[in-house]
Amino acid sequence: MKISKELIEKYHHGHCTDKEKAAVEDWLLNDDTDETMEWPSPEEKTALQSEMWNEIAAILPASAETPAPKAERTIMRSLWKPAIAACLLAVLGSVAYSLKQEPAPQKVISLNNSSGTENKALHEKEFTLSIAPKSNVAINSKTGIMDFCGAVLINPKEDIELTFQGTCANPAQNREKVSLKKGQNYIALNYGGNAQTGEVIVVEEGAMASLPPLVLKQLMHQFNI
Amino acid sequence: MIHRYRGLIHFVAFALLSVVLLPGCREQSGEQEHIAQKKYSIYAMMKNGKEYILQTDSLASGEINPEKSGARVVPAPLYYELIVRDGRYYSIDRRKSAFVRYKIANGEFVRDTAIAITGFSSVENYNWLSRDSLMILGYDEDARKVRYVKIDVRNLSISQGIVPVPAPFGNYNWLSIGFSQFLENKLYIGYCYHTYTLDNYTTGDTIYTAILDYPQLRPQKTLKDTRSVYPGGVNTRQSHSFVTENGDFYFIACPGIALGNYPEKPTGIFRIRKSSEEIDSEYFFNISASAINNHGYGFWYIGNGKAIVRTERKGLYTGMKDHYKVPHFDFYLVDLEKQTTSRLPLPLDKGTSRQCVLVENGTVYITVNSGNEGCYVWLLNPGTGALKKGLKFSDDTEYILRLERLNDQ
Repeated sequence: MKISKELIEKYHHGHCTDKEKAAVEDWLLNDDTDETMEWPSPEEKTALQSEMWNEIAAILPASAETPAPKAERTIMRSLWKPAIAACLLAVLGSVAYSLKQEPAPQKVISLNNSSGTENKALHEKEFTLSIAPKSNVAINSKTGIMDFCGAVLINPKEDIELTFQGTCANPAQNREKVSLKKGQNYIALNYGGNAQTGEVIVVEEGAMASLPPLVLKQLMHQFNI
Repeated sequence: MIHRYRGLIHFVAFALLSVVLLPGCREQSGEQEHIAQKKYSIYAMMKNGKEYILQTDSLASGEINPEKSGARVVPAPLYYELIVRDGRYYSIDRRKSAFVRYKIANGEFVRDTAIAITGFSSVENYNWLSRDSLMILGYDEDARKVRYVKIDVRNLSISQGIVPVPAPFGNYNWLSIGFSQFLENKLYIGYCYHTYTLDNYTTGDTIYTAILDYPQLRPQKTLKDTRSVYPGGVNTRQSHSFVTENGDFYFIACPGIALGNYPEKPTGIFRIRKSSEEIDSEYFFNISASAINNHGYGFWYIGNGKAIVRTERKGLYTGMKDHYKVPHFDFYLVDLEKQTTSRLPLPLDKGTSRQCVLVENGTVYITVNSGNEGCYVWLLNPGTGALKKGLKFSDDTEYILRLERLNDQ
C-alpha cells in the first residue's frame, strides 16, 4: 500500500481502515517497507518520520515501558477520541523505539590465562587464539576491538580487521588497527620498559625476527614457533 | 591449533628430514663437493615474503634477481642466525638443541646435516678459533647456565661445557651476551642482565665484562661499567665490536628500544686498550650526545681508526611496531679517536638489524634497502669518501638482510 501524506493525515485523524492503519504502522516501524511513496526529497520523508517519532516520544514517559496512570489520564483528557489509537500505537512504538535505540546485543569473549606456564587456546569462527601465560584477552565481536595484556598468537581463518588495545598501561594510547590475512600467524604483545608507557606490537610471524633477540626468543619458545 | 597438529608436524618434519638426510649420508662417502665457489653470499627477502640465498662474485656492478638466481630458503627465517664461512652455512636449531649445517640442493637452501648439542636455544655469540674450529656461546631456555660448544666443522665433532658467567640474580631473570673476544689468549665476554615479562622488558644498569683464561675458562676478573647498558649484541645479527690494527678493542652499547630497551641511557662506544685488561675509564664516545643525536646498533670497523655506526632516526618510526619496516636508518662514519661523526649521504635504510657492511681490500660495501630508491650494494672509498652504487637488486626485493664473504680467493 502506498504511504501518502493524505494517508498519514487520515491516520492521525483516526479515519484509517484496519488495513491502512497496519500499513502506516508498518511503515513507521520498518525502514525497509516498500518505498512506493514519492517524497519531494528524502529529507522530507525523514523529517516526517522523526516528527512522528517525536510526537510518540513526547507522550511517553522517559523510559518506562508502560505509561504511568496519572500521565495517561492527563493525556486522555486533553486529546480527542482518535488519540486512543495513537496511544495504542505509542505503546507499540515505545517497544519498537527502545529496540531501535539499543545496540544489538554485544558479544564479548574474555579469557584470562592465569596459568604460569601453559598457553590457553580460544577457537572462534573467524580466528584461533593462543593466549600466553599471565595474559588476558577480551574481544568485542561487534566493535572488533581486542583488549589484551600480555602476549597472544592469532591465526585468522579469514581476512579480518582487528583493533588491538593494550590494557597493561594507557589503553587509549595503545591502539593498533591491523588487517590480518587468513592463515598467517600474528603475534600481539605489549612492549613496555623502564619509563615508557609501553606500546602494542602486532607482527606477522615472519617479521618477528626484528624484535629484540630476547623478546623474540621468549615468544618463539612460548608459542612453539 | 599448532598443538593440535603437533603430531602431524613432527611426522612431516621427520619425513622431510629423512628425505634430506639420508641422501646426505650417502654423499659423504663420496667426495665432498661444494656447489659453488662464489666469493659473496647475500640473503634477501622479497616483497612477497619469500627469502633467498644468493651467491655472487661481484658486488661492484650489475643487477641481480634473487628469485631467479637465488636458492629459496626453505627452513623458517634464518637471516639473523646464520654463520657463514668457506662456502658453508651453519646455525643452531633451537627446538632440537642441535648444530645444523645447510646446503643448496636443487635451487633450495635446505638442511644438510645436524649434530645434537647440550642446552642451546640459540647463538648468543660466536668466534672462529681457527679456520675449521668454531666456538659458540649460548644458553638453554631458562638462561640459568651459559654454555660453550666447540665444533670442528670438517667432521662436526664437538666438545662442550659451561662458561662461568653468573646466572641472573635478584629481580633479573635473563641475560644477554653482547660480545666475546679473544685478546692475548684471554676470552673477554661482555654481558648484561634483564628483567623480562611478556609485557615488559628492560636491561639492568651495569655492563659486565668477564675476563677468563683460555682454554681453562677460569674467571680472572670481572669489569663493570654503568655509563650505558646492553654491550654489543648477538653477533650473527650484525657486528657490534672489533679489534683495531694496534690491538685496541672497541664495542658499542645499545640501550635503544631495539636492543636494551633502556632509551634513557646513551648509545656509546667503549674501549679496552691493548693489554690493559680494563675498560678505558677516560674514553666514552657518546653517540646519542653527538651530532647523531639518536640511538644506534650496528658497529663496523673500516680501518685506520674509522668505523661505521648504523643509527636510527627518531620521528620517522613510532616504536618497535614499525621500527623494522620504515626506512629511518643512517650510516655515520666515525673517527674513534677524535670522536667526530659524519653522515654518509646514502638513502635512509630499513631493517632493524642487518649484516650490511663488508670491508675488503680498501672498499667498504654497504647494502641499503631504501624506501623508493631500490635495494643496492653501495661502494664507499674510505680514503676519498666517494660513494657509488654497485650491484642492484630487482624491484621485487624488500630487504637485503645479509652480505658476507663466502669463500676466500
